[in-house]
Amino acid sequence: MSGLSIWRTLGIAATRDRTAIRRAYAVRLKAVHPEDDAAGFQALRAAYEQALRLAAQPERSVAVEAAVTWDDAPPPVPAAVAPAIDRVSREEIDVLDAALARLRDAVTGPAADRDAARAAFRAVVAARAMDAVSVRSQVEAQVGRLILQGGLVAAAIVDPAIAEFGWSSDRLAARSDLGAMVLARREDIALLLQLQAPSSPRHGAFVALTRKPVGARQWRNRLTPGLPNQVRALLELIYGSHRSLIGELDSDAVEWWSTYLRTPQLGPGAIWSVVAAPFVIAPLLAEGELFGLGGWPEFVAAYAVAVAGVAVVAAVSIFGLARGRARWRQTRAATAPAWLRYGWAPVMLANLAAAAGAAPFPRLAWAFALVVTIGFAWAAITAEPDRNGPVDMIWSLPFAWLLPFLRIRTMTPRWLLLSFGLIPLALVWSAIAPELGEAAVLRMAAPLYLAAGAFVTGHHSLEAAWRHRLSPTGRRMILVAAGLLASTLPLILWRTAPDAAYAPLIAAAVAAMVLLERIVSLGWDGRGLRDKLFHWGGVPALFAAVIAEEDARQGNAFLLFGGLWLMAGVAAGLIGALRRERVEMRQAAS
Amino acid sequence: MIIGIDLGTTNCAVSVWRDGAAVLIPNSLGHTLTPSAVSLDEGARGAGGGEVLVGLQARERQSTHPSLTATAFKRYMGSTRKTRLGKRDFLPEELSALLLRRLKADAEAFLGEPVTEAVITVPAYFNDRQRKATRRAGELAGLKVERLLNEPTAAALAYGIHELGAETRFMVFDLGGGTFDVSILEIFEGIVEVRASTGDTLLGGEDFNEAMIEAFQRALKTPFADADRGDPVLTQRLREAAERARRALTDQPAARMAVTWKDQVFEAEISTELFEEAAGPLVARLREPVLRALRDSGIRAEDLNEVVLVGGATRMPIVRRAVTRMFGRFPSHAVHPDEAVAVGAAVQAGLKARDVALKEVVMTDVCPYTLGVEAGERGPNGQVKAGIFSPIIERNTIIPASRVESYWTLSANQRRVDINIYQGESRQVADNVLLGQLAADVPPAPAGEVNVDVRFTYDINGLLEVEVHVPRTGERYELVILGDESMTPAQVIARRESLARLKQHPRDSDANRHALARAARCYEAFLGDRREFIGRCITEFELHLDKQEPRAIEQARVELLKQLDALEGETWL
Repeated sequence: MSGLSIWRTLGIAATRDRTAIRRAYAVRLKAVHPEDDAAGFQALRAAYEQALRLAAQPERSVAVEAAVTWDDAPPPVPAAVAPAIDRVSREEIDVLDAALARLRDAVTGPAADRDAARAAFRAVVAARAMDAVSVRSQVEAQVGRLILQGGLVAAAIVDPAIAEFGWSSDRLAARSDLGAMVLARREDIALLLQLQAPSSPRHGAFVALTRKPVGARQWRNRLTPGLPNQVRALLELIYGSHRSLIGELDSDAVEWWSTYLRTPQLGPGAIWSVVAAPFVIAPLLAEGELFGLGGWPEFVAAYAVAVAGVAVVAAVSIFGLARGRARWRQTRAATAPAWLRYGWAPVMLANLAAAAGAAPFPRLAWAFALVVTIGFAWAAITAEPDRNGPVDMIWSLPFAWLLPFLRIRTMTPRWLLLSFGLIPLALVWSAIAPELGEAAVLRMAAPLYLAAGAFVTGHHSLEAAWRHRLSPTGRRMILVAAGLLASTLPLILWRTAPDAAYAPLIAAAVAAMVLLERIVSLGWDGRGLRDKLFHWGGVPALFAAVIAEEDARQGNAFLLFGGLWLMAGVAAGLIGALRRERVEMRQAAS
Repeated sequence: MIIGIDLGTTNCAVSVWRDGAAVLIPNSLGHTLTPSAVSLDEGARGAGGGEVLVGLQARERQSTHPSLTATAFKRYMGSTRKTRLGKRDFLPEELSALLLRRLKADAEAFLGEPVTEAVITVPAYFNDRQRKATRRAGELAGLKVERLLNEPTAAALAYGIHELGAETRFMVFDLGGGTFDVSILEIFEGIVEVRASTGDTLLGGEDFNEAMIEAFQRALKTPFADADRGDPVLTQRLREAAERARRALTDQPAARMAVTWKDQVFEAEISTELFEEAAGPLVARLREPVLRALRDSGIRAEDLNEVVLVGGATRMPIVRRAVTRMFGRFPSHAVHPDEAVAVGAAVQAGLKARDVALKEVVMTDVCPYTLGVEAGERGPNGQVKAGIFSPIIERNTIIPASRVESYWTLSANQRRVDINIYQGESRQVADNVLLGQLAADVPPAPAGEVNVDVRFTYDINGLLEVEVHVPRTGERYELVILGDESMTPAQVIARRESLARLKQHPRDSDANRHALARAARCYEAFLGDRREFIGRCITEFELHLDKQEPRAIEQARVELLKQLDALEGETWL
């Protein structure tokens, strides 16, 4: 019922005066008799109840007074006072008081004991003064308060109290606020006992939150793998639905962890990989005889270099990229201009084209590599967060059908998905290597890989730009232009495949088309023709390439057939995008 | 005129609102209460064929002709349990109809005009089936049932009608023969509003009689064997003696209980302490509905202005003391415990007739139990828990009420949704009462995509209407809950005629019939000298009946009753 209609139905101005509301209801009720007009009466009643809710204090309130004396709430003295034998006497109340005091001691006193608590509760319940209803409700409030504030010993009387006062949630609508709180407290205590058991999976997180983070504990916090995530989950659980357990946690620990979890940190996983990963890398480096020392010194030197390398990468990714992204989201994300947000995309593509064109000039390779690294960092910092998670990306990647076989699902880290997505690109490029040499491969590798990485990382931003920043006409124009290019590229491929000199440019063009098309097709159903081509088309292309390679007439067969496969997918994606544009335009018009 | 009828388990009464007050109508014996008993008399003296006796006469025949007498059939209302009296089977509503017919005749004799409309009271806990059976009983008796009124509300009306000018809150504590009802009401500005209504359907005066019988067994030197206890005649005699002793204990510290069985007299002296010890657990059960009513209404015990006791069983000192201890004050004696419900029914009849004196009064009632359907819940790990009660109308919702809830399909491609309607308070439907079933066809779709709207409409008489709407297909289904036995109007007329064929014993000779029946019962209940004495009295009375002089017959009857009173104590109602 809307606010306005309540007062109109009652026929008075909005008010908080209960008496006025009741009088208005009474007057209206005489006219809208329940026997005659059931619907009208229901509307009146709903308005009346809502008006009372808006105006009134809750009638049922948990009596959380500091101390209740029996003289506080005496029943109103009736005209005919019952004789002494029939009323609850002073002596009976004293007996009850003593039993309550014993119960309080048993639960919260220094000698807190479960059996004593249970026995004391039984004595309270059996007291003769409990015959009086008003006495009973006061005792109920006191016992409830005791359970809510008592510690684990209070758990001993929770079940008997629930049975005695009828707080059980099995009976509908028999709950009071107090009862609901006690039932919640019972669940909290159950969780607490679970957390305290050493065998529980969350025990480690619980210990981390209940011990002060000083000295060795800090190092343990930082270095135990998986601990930060567990602590984060436990904090969310406690602060979300078990708030009464907040008192059990150490406040210093909670504060330390909150600060730790707020900004991206070098997590335990990263720290351990800084130590362990070099063990894998070092032998490879040592093999390469970079330092010319030989034997063990070579290995140690390689290890040192590897450690430094991994540490630099980890530091850059955390303190540079992750923290950078956090600060960007906090401060600039909402107000940044468009070029700052999306500018990295054209920069990467231009860089790619330039690197491809300058392939014969080895010295410029470092410049291109530097530009592309900056571009990648730029994309990583300004990237919008994944809304649907990595699952969204799977459908957009070629060879995604492999992933279920390898049991890689939604928890796949991004770099792994990246690697899969780049298999075709890598294959294409490997076709060029024999012609141009390994150095050329390395020179193009960085621009290609990091460009793709940037697009993968920042695809949501570009998708947002594509959907919301461009007008429909603009989109259609871009799609048509891309389509034209996509249709001419295969012809160019066919003509230039044998000629190794054009290979880098062609490869760069194909890669750029794939990346652009990916943005356009993001988020759409992964079962269309485009996805089928991307996922399955590689197989016949590979086949054809292997066969054709024997026949030297076709020149660089891998480049040719790989390129054709990818362009077929791109063409299908662009056509699908055009079709969607048309449907949307029609819907917008109708 | 619309009459008000209290159709109780042990006694019933009829009343009318006249000249701004409720008036109880006396029956042919001059009593305002008529026992709820029906007896068939095959081959009565001086009249051929089966005759139906209703009221005190029938109750007296309970121990002499147990296979021809039926009492406490209100407990079976709404079911199809047939009671066999002689050669004929009766449904509970037919027995009630015979009772109602007698009350109708009494009212017509009193008012001097035909009576066709009535307000009948039902226990607050009566479900849809039981209420419809009560209405059918009225129709079978030739009465149009204007309204079904909850008994605790009727009692509250009887009290509240004197308090209309004030603003007050009070509790009605109704301990009747078979059920216990607690209601909390509020009166303001001439509106009588029921705030909460709860109770215990299995707690009443009868249970206290059982406790008395247990005390009796304990007091006897040689208690009855269990095999004997099963005998209906003995059970009836024990119950009567227990009832008498219980009433005696109200005024005296001890009572004598005597039962004749197989030519032996068993008697013992029962003290108040012995009885209260046996009745202790029953008194403890009185507390729970009181607490629940206070909780549901949101009113504290301290805010109640009055506690009103209704129902014969509240005369017991043990019950009075328990209530006084609960509230720290004496309960009110403003209403007559046995007549309150009938008075309330008269008030409602007056309200219905828009009597001038009651023009400014409106009464609203609540639904005393929760109504809902059976549903399943999907847990966090995908497991489905079935048999959960999902409430649609919560208890103590003011009526008339109409509420709708939406439910979604649980499995993919589900073609049908079964709607099972339950009444009760437990979260598991297995502990609740099934009222009816309905099935709705739904189009196939993935799980959780098709929803079904279920609307419960609970009208002012406590009758439930269920409407199911499937938005996707636009289909609507309606369910009117019927019992296993549903009667078409034609069947009702046919049944009414077959009942009418049962001859009712003529009103004017009711008193004589009653006297004879009572004397016959006493004859069987006593032994030796007393039995002979009663035999002689009966013979003397029958001689007077043969002479057919009205005045002499009346004198002889009064004399006979006096003798019987001296022997066994006065008749109680």
